[in-house]
Amino acid sequence: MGTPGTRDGIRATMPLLAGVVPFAILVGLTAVERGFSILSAVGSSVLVFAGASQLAVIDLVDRGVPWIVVLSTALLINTRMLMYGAALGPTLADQPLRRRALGAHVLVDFVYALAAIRFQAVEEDRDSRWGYYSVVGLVLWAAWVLGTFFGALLGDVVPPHVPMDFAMPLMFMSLLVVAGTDRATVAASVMSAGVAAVTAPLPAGLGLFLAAGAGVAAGTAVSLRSGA
Amino acid sequence: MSAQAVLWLVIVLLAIGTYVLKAAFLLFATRWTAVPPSAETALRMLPPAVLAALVVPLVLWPQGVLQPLGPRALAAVVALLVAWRTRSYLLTLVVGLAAMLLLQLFV
Repeated sequence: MGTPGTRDGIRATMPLLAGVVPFAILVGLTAVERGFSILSAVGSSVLVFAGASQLAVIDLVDRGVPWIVVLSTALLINTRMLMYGAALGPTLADQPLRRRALGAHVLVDFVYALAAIRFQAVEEDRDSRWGYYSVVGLVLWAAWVLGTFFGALLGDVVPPHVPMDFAMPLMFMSLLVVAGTDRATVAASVMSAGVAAVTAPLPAGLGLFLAAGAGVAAGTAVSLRSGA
Repeated sequence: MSAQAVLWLVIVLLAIGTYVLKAAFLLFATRWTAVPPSAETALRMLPPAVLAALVVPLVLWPQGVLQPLGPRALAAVVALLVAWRTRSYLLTLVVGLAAMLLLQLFV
């Protein structure tokens, strides 16, 4: 504690909580609305700590999709985290193993984004770098878990005429807009959406894989053609 | 298996799998960072593609029936505009739910 990194880390994390906490609340609330236990809602936030995949899992399991399809879908959503590790690996390589082992668990979108910017902008010693990274990661993790718990408690309170099952696609759409950063990613989502609109009646999971596959192909093609 | 048991099974396996994805480079290959550019491009396309594939059936095919002009589809268009203009989860959620409530009454 007390390194410049720790202090800056806290300062950088606070504004993010406004975006993270409502999302966490929604995860807890949705899980309980769909009839799952508070413990499993909170457990998924403690253990998985990757929002979009957690929501997808709740929805797909609730709709009776086979577990292997649910698992594959969720892992596909999280594959981007492989890139985060690759990008931050060199800067964190001098940290002791137990720091890296803990750091890996909290490596989510926001932590990657903040740390990548910080490590490029600021020259600092090993402990200060770890101070920044660990504070951002652990504060977001704690907020995520507490938000989920709070949402799960709220689950029974929401009046029945509020269409909470619609909250999940809404959250996915906000994530989608954030993920669509350039022409290639927009092409990926548009192609995937088009295919999904047609393949929705296919057996659970099949339509999803066809749509996502077509989307990745389209996005990659656009990206290669524009030479990005 | 009950849905609750399936959920636990998926949570535990997903936790392990996600940790492996996060930790792969941090723990085992910190010096080896040469993800081929084409693989990186494809990886970057996965989240938008998977998210779009998850959203569309929920919005266009509620309960497995195609409703291209149903309240969900229309509210989704409103929400998408809000998400695009504001980039705020919270506003998208609030406006989208409000639009859905209103449209359920009139459509």
